[in-house]
This record gives sequence, structure tokens and C-alpha cells, in this order.
Amino acid sequence: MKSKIGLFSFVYLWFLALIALPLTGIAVGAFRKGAMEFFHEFVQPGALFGLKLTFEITACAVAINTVFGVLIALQIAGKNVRGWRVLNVIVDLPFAVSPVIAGLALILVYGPNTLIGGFLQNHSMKLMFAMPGMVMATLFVTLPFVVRELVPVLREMGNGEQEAAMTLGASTWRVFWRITLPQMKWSLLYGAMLTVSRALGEFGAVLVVSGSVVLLTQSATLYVYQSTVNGDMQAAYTVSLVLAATSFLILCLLEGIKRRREVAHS
Amino acid sequence: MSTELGKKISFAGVSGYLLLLVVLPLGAIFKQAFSAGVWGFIHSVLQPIGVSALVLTIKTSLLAALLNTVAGTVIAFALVRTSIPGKSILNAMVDLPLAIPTTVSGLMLIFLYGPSSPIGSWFARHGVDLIYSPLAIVIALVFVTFPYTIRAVQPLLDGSDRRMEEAALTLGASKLRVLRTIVLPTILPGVISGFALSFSRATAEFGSVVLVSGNLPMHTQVSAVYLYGLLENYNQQGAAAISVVLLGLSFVAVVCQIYLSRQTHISALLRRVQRFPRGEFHEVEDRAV
Repeated sequence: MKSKIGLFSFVYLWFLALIALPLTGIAVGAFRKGAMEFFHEFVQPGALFGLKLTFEITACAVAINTVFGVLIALQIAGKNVRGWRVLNVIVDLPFAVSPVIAGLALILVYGPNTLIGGFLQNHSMKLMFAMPGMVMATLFVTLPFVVRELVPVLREMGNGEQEAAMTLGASTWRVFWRITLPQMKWSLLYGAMLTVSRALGEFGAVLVVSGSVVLLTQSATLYVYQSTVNGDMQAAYTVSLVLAATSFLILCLLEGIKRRREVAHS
Repeated sequence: MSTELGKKISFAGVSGYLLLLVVLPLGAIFKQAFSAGVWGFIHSVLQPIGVSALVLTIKTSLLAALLNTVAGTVIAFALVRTSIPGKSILNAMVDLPLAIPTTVSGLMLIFLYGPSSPIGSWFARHGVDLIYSPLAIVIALVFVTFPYTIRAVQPLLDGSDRRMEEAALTLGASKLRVLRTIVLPTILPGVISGFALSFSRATAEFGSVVLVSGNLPMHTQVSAVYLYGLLENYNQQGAAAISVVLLGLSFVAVVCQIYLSRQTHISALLRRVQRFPRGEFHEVEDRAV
């Protein structure tokens, strides 16, 4: 009994000190000067622009990585092309790489002084230190999520139904829409939501490739960082609270999707 | 025929995407790191500030991973095996550190434990700086690696056979002995992989650490922040060299994890066989396998 009380109080203390208190702290920080101040900081052009840019980048990254994630997962799960093992390893690489390194890697290939980046710049397309580069950095760090969710599901389903449909004369496209997609829809949604969550919060890679120019390439997390460094804590707390609330919402959605998926699979 | 062609086009598209997004950029890091020759690479890595940053990174990451491995195992045990009040809420909260942007995490810790907060100022009066110190780095790393061990150990505890423990208890083994000889070997692979994941995530962490550490060179500057500083000063070769070292570090962590979890599997098997050299129990187990 005594050991149980000890165990429980340790668990509560650990959660309290690391999660519950910091989380409430950010809300207290944002509202410590009242709701008006919160609203005032929220409608600052920098804050609004940062949030808008973050949501735009996230939308682009999710759209592109969902499409490519499905394609890559089909290749890896199907095992019917030589080289699926290589794909399998490459997809996991972004997990092992620090975000700052990811940003540096992209600059080394697509920066203004490089072969590819220079060529594109001559044709008036700027990748690095502009929004396309920020999207690329986000694509890099969120690459594994959709693939990792889909591969086990696709393997588990097998392709018996697909082959049956093909034999009966359905086109590849039709088989995908009518059989493969419905089978994997919850896992796809889960992977896409994980991508959203990571894309909203990405900082290191985006910082390196963007240059963090105010009202041009300063996304929400960069705005929080810049405000903290400048000592403008109220602005930092306000935008942080918006970001934290969004992540909390996404976490709830993820939990819901997980339950749906378990029901669908059982 | 047309499906074959479709498959080939899709494979080519996917390969091209990965080549442009992952392979070329990471390859460029290695090329840039050795652009001044092997000596240039070694020279960049052995800069005193860089070495001290690397040592600090490894120390704080090891400490944070260790803390979280112990605490995570205990928490996983409490969440699976006990009827702790508020279990489902606690369980849902575990993933929060992964969902929250790392800059926000850093800011939260500053607000709560910074010098102007009640908790931080209390500690400061007693001579402990919670923020802008090496301790701050450990706190931030413990926060961002919070879920890994819990999520690695939970399924193993959940799926383990309670009957073995009950049998051992009935036969008179003490609780501690059951924990040591049955529970721990079962969850050890999860504990190890939780540790390795936490460690490699900790060495890569940037967003929260850059805010809470104060970034004093030779004192509270970790490798990722040092690397960012080099980039700001347009020293791409130096930054790439540090990147190669960090990539090597997480590679070593992954290899160690695979090696150790294999070892424990084998040694656990051996121990089980030795304990029941012959007789019924052994056969039953063989059949079950």
C-alpha cells in the first residue's frame, strides 16, 4: 500500500512538473494582463502573418507529402519493384537528422550559390530564403509520417482483393479508389494529421532555410523565437498559446482517429 | 502492359522525389564537410568551442535519456499495471510533448522555471539556476523526450503473461525477485529502445534548447546551437563537419540499440533454458515456441 502511494505520487509529480504546470503556465502567461492584451498581441501584423504563413506551409506540406507518402508506401509495401529496401531506409533518414542539419542540407543544394539554386534564380525562381524553401524543409522533416502509418496496414491487407478486381477488369485507378483507399483511409488520415502536427511546430529546419525576415518569411514558431529573444514576452506567450491550443486540438483528433481505426480493423 | 508501365513511372517519380528532397541534400553535407580535405574536416571538428559543445550535448543527452528511461518505465508500469486515478487523462497527456512545437516548449519552461517565476526564483535563492544553465538543457531534453520510453515499454507490459509472475509469487518468490527475474527481462528491449530513441532525439534537439540554455559558448552551448551559429557566420564547411559528427552519433545510437536488444533476447532465452535444464516445463515451452 505504502509503495503504491509512493508510485502514484511520483507519477503525478512527474506529470505535474513536466506537462501540466508548463501547459497552464503558457495560458497564464498569455492572459496575465487580461484578455484585451491577449487580443491586442494576437492582431499584431507580425503575429497574424506568422500564423497565416505557418498554416499555408502546413497545407502545402500535407498535400504534397500525402500524395507522395501514398505512392512511396505502395512501393514499399508491394515489394514488387527492386529497390524497395533502399526506399525504406531513405524514408526513415529524416527522423535521424537534426532539423538544423536538414536546413543546412537543403541550402547546400538549393541555396543561391549552388548549381541548381543558381540556375533557378536566373530564371527568377527563388527557393531558399523564401516560402518554397520553407515548404521543402517542412516536407523533409515530415516525410516519414504518412509512409510509416501506411506500410504496415497495406502489408496486413495483402492484395488479394486488388488482384480479384484487376482480374475482373477494373483499371488500376479504379482499384485504388474503390479498394485500396477505403482500406487505408483511417491510417492515411492519422499519418496526415501527424504531418500537420509536426509541420505546424517545425522550427530548426525552417529557421535555417528562411532567414526569418519579418513579414516575409517569419512563420509562427519563428515569431515566437524572435519575440522571446527580443524580450517581447507577451507576444511570444500569445502566439505560443495559439500554437499549443492547435496542437492540443490535433492531439484530440489523433486520439479519435486512432479509436475509429481500431474499430474499423477489428 | 500498361500497369507495368504505370508502376515504372510511379517508381521513377517516387525515386526522383526522394533523390531531390533527401539523398542529394544529405550527400551535399558530406561533400561540404570534406570540401577542405580530411584535415580541414578534422580541424573544424576539433575547434575547442565545438568540442566542448559536443561533450555537453552527449552529457546532457545521456542524463536526460537516463532520467526518462527510469521515470518512463515506472510511469508505464503505473499506467498498465495499477489502477491509478485519472489513468486515461494521464495516458492521453503522454503524447503532448511530441505535439507541442519545440519553441513553445522552451517558452513554457522559461515561464515556469525562469528567474522571474516563483519556482525559479526560489531555486535561485538556494543557488540553483533552473534556466540558462546546463540543468535547463537537461530539463528541456527530458520534456521533449518524455513519451519515448513510456510508449516503448507500455505494449510489452500490456502483452506480457501475468501467469508467470503469479506462478513465481505462489512459489514463494519475493516481489523484488519477480520484478528482477520476470518483469525486467520482458520489458528490457522496450527500455533499451526507449533509451536509444530518447538519446538520439536529445542530441538533435534545437528549438527548446536554444531558448532555455542561454547559449554561452564553452558553458551552455550544445552542438545543434553551435552548428546554427556557424551557419549564421557563413561557415558552411564547419557546420557541415559538425553535422557529420552528429549524424555519426545518432548512427552509433541506432547500431547500439539493435546490438543490445539482440543480446538481451539471446541472453534471456539462454537463461530460461538453463533454469529448466530438462523436464516437463522445458518441453512445454519448446512447443509453445
